[in-house]
Amino acid sequence: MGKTKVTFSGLNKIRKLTKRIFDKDIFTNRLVKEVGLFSQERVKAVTRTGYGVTNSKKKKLKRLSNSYKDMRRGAVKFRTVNGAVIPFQEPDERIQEVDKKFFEPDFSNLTFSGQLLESIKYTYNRAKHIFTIQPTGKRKKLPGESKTLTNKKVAEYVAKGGRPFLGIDKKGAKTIANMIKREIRAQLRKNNLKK
Amino acid sequence: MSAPTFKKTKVQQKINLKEEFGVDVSDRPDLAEALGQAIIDKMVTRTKASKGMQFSGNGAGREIDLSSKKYSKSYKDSREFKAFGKTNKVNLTLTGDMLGQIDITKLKGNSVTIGWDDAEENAKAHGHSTGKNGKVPKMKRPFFGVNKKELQGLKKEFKSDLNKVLKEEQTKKQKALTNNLLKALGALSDGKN
Repeated sequence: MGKTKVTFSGLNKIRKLTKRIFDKDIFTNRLVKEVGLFSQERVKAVTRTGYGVTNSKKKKLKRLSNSYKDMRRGAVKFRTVNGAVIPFQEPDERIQEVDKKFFEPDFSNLTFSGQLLESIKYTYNRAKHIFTIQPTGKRKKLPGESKTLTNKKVAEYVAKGGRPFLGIDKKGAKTIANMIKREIRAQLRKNNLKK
Repeated sequence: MSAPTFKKTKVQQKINLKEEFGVDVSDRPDLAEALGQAIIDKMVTRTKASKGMQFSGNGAGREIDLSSKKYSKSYKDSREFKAFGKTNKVNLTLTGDMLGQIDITKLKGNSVTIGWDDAEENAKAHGHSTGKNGKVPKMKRPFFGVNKKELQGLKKEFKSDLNKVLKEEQTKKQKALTNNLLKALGALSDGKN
């Protein structure tokens, strides 16, 4: 699960009815930007507060393991030696790179360096009216790391590990629906003045 | 003008558009919707600028400054405060859901009702407005509702839209009068013949 798609099923009916209106008059560049940025920042903020989203429902992210908490506290580091993971009683070098604003060693919020959440961006497919919210780009190499992954790969990894987070909760979707309503009402007024 | 009602389960304001804007918009739902949205926008914009609205017993609303009612230290230290990128500015916006979900909950004839259809957001608004909701805000920060002055501002803003409806109304009346006069003439002519 490397991305989430935000579609507006209720509005698809309107789109079929009046495609031109939907394309040009409702989903203006301004609205696309407003909805896109809101969705993008919503995913980041909800995750930073320790929640993931599955099927539009907010759910606390799975707790961190004790050994990983130890690593995040700077107490140990893990190395793979001959295929076995061995802990060493010394700080992991990566601890120098934590995101000071949102990182807490014992708190599960998908934040260590902060790169994953920070990389989340939206794109909008105008033909299909789909917003896609997904992590982007390659990660910065942290001290002691030998290879760099893409943020999308990391998102897939954490989701597989039981921490799905790329989604818009019901409340967020409702707020987005209201943004669209506002645009429709603005168009109603414009249309009235044109007559 | 009726002041908002602040019930735990329903915070809302009912506005009679004909009374406030002087034009019958009962067969113009498009304009009624636009006016309703403009009323919502007025509340939201004001609140985001740290200005609240305090209604007195006689229903008159007075703009108040929300910035003097600062956020508590524990709230500022909370994870939510940081995660949603909130600043010290008192604008009743954390997730953006409460202000973002104010909507037209009922539109019938000339009457528009503004409020929430979401129980949680309604409860938040009730708490802010009355200071009585222990679960969410403890400090009273009233913001919901529009007063006479704000509606007067909207009346100016919608002048051309409203004038258009007025003209259409007059034309309709004129047409009706013309038809009646013609009918009267017809009746008299019939009588002669």
